[in-house]
Amino acid sequence: MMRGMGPGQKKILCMGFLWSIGFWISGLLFPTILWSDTRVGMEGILGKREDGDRVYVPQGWVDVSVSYYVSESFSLFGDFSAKVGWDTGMDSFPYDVSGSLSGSLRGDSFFIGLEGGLRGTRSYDSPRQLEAYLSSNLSYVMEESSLFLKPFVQTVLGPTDSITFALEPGIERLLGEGWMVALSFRPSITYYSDESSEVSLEPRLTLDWFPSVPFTANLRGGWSQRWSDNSDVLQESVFGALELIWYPALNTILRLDTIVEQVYRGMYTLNKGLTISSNMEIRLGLPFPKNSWDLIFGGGYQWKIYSEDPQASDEWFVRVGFEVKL
Amino acid sequence: MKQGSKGIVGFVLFFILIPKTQVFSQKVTLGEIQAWFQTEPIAAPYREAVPSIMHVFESASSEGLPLDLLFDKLKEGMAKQVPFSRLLSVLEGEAVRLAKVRGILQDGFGKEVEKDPLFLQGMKVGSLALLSGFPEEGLKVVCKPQIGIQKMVTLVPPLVEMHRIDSLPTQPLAYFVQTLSDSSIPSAQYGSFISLYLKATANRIPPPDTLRLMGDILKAGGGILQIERELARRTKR
Repeated sequence: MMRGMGPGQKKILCMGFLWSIGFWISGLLFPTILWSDTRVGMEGILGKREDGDRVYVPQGWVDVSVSYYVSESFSLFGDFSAKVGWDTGMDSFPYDVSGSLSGSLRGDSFFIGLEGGLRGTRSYDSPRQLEAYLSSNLSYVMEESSLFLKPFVQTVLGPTDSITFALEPGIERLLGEGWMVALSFRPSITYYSDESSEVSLEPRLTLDWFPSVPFTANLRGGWSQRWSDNSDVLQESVFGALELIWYPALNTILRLDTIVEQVYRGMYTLNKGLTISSNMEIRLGLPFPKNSWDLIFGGGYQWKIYSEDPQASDEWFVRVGFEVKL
Repeated sequence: MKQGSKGIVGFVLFFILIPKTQVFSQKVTLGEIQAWFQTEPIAAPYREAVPSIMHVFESASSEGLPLDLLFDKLKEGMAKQVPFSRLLSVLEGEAVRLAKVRGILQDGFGKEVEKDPLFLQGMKVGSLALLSGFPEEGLKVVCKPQIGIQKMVTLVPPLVEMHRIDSLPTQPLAYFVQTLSDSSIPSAQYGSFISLYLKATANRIPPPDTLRLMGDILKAGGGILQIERELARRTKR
């Protein structure tokens, strides 16, 4: 796969490698490991795909996160996650393996965050793919607001290789007690290995609510438009999403994510339509031993209707599993 | 009652009763409580149990505990027509907790704390915290001279709720509490840390990480906005 890479992609992978070396050297020079967390889990998913297939996916995962608090203003984090299973629909092993390293530097009026990561995936709706990314967050912090700039570069090695550059400036502000709002604008450009390219624009508004009770809500919405290199509009859409997290009873965390997207302009007929998807997860912590076991129950539903096809399609899944904190 | 049910009852009582602790008038005496038994209609079904109940009050009085909070508990139990045996054990438990809390307050703020107008409120908040399962070590972390009793009474309720979501480890808790107390965040906004902590926990950020990260941001002069954004950035799963 490395042989097929362009110079830009190699450069990003090299930067990622150097960043990881720097991370571990910093960790050795300042051996202040404050916390490491390892979790393993297993679950079974029963689902119906858009094509009507009933599938069963047993899978397991391991998540490791390490935190170095080098000083009060400088922290380093490393995360590794691997999920592997068996998909009866694919009749093969889907996987999702990722690793990332990040650093945070904060001062009286600024915050600088840098993160690099690698991710390899294979799933029923996308073949083998490897992506590498570098992202940054540069913030100017004021008392109740901050201005930020998030440069981002990502390369994907997959069926069609690509490299994406994005820059997201924005402002975020506290709005009274427990409310915060962020407004940002994210232009990006993607170059594909078949020499095509596309540009996208995405203004986005996010509203978070943090009340004095164990409940939180995040509401976000935006508009996006993508053009090809010859200025044809590939897709234009609006989207809205709502995320709720609630702690309704002892050792129980309930999470609900709902996304609605209306694509009203697309290159192909089936690009246009409405998609509603919703996922729910309940984590039930067992009080013994030492609160380290979680039972996981979840489910999701996605419904799509296309503008020129009266037949709506849907897919759903239910999942049951557990996770253990080692 | 099961441990989990106790926690829920404690939590509910915590938030129901805290506002009532805002105003404490004069101290109740043993004589007044004895007289109250004779005149109060809700005490009538408990008259035969008065000696046992008074014994709890006498013990508390001999230990120098303020009787007001025990008396409130007694009136609450009688109003709910709690059976005598249960009422007695609740009062005994409350007396034990109050003795512990007074010790923690005195160790943390000095013996003179009993003269502070917020002493009774501190006792109430501390007792309800222990009833809700908040550890004594956690309470000791908040009862420090550099934090002060005024901030202690506003800090403890959100910390109790955070602890209910996922246990708060003592060492990073001490750091977080100190930085929060030193920060410019008004105490009216302390409640937002409950939902911030919930979001971090739901996103699988371990409690020591969350507390350390929040403490570092507060120390650097950041506020709730920066905490939310850095916790969101820390979320990988």
